[in-house]
Amino acid sequence: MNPIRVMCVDDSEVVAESLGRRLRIEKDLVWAGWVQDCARLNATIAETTPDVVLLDVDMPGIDPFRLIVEIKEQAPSTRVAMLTGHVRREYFEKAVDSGADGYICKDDDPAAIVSHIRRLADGEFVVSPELGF
Amino acid sequence: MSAPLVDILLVDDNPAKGLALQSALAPLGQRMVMARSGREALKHLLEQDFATVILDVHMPDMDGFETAQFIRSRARSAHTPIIFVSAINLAETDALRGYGLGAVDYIFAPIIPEVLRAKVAVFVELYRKTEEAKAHAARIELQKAELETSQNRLRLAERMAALGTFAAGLGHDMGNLLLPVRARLDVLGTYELPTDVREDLDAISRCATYLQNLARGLRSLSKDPQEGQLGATDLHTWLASALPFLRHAVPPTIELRAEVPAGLGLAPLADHCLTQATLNLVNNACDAIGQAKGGQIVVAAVREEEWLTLTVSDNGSGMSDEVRARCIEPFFTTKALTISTGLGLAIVHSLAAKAGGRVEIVSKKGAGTTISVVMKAKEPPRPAEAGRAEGTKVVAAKEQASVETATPA
Repeated sequence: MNPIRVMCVDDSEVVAESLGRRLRIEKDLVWAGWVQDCARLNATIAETTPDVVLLDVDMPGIDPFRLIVEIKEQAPSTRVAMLTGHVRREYFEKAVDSGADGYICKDDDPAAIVSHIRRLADGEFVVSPELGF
Repeated sequence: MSAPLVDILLVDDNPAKGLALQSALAPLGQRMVMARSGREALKHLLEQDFATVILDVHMPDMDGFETAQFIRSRARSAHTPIIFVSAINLAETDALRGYGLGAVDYIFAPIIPEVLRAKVAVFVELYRKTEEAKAHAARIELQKAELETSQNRLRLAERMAALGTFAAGLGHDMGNLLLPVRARLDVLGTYELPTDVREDLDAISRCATYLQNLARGLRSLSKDPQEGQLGATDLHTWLASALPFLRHAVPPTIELRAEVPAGLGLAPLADHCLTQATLNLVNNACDAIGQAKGGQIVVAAVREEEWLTLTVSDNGSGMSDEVRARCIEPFFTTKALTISTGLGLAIVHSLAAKAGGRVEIVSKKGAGTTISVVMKAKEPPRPAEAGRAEGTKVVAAKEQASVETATPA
């Protein structure tokens, strides 16, 4: 089975790099890198062809829900999920309306985040238990 | 609505003249009180107010002028209008003396009923208007006081909302930064490490878990308790995450203990609602204990058939019967408005009601308080786990920075 290529869009280097370090422990995951500068997002996606993109909600000057639409237009088979500290119903609904495949909370255990990524890649719709479903 | 009746005091030692006054004034339809002497009149004036006093000048013992002097000397009746009734031959000096004592008018015998009625009617109307003005002023005072209280509550609510926003932001940022901490700890865990380094990592990991729960608690605090109230929350798991947060609400002089075994089943409320409800109860318990030594608060849960009971008990000052009867009313508080919205128990009560449950309060002045939230569990009890649950407790000694689970006996 092909490894799952994971990319992350986050304005925080320490969050993104640490997540990358953690994902690289897993044999079936490949860290495709992270994007801080959203102007380079299209190019990076074209270069790295991720299977899963994790999107932060809180990025200065960026509408993360618009990014979902753009990623899906560019690479329709890419699975896109929010990865955020905001456990908020309205953000969740906006993400779903914009075509997200999941909503993952940063509060989740790293092992749980790994498992969410696998399920996303498997075609499942993934929501953190924190959201109360 | 008809105007309320007013009282008129008639003072005459002669019963026949008294009767004549009464029948002359009867068409006014007001209440009339008859006195046979100046003394009796003063007795009535001690007991109530009158719109006007009709006073016979010539009476044995205390005459009308003397009586008027007493009436004027009491603050309460100093402005009660007095109409003297006198024989037509009243000397001019006497009349002037009457006015000097505060008489507002004279009626000369034999009285003409229409004239007396017309004069008294004016005073009845004046009295009524004065009373209305007084009542109006009192209403305005009351409204002013209510407005001030509302403004204070609004200011307090604004402050609480600002605190809520701050708590949410803090919780969010803490959670954000704990992800890299936990991710790196996981990475370090994959290396072959000496035992003491592994122990160091375990300690850091426990602190991270503690902070994670604290961050969740901060976020749940800022959520509107009216939003998404119902849920299915495992009480044991919930308390493990809420406990660090609750402990922060308790001063170090008070011991906070939690006894919530695993396997009780799911409570029908969302976890942030349980946290807010319990936080309110724990806060109240802290206030009830105050500075007293040996203060203890126990958060416990038990299961009886389909009912789950979450209790917060303290050994504080307890409530009087009056306070216990009123304590779940919204805005009822025994604390200063600056520290209490008076909404805590009302919120707990409304949450319990939403969950199809109830709040039970056992409290005695001087003997502590136990408040129970009784809720219908979301699922049947699991008998296989019940035995194991007995020995499992979440321990929350105040010095501990991490949540431990004691091994079942």
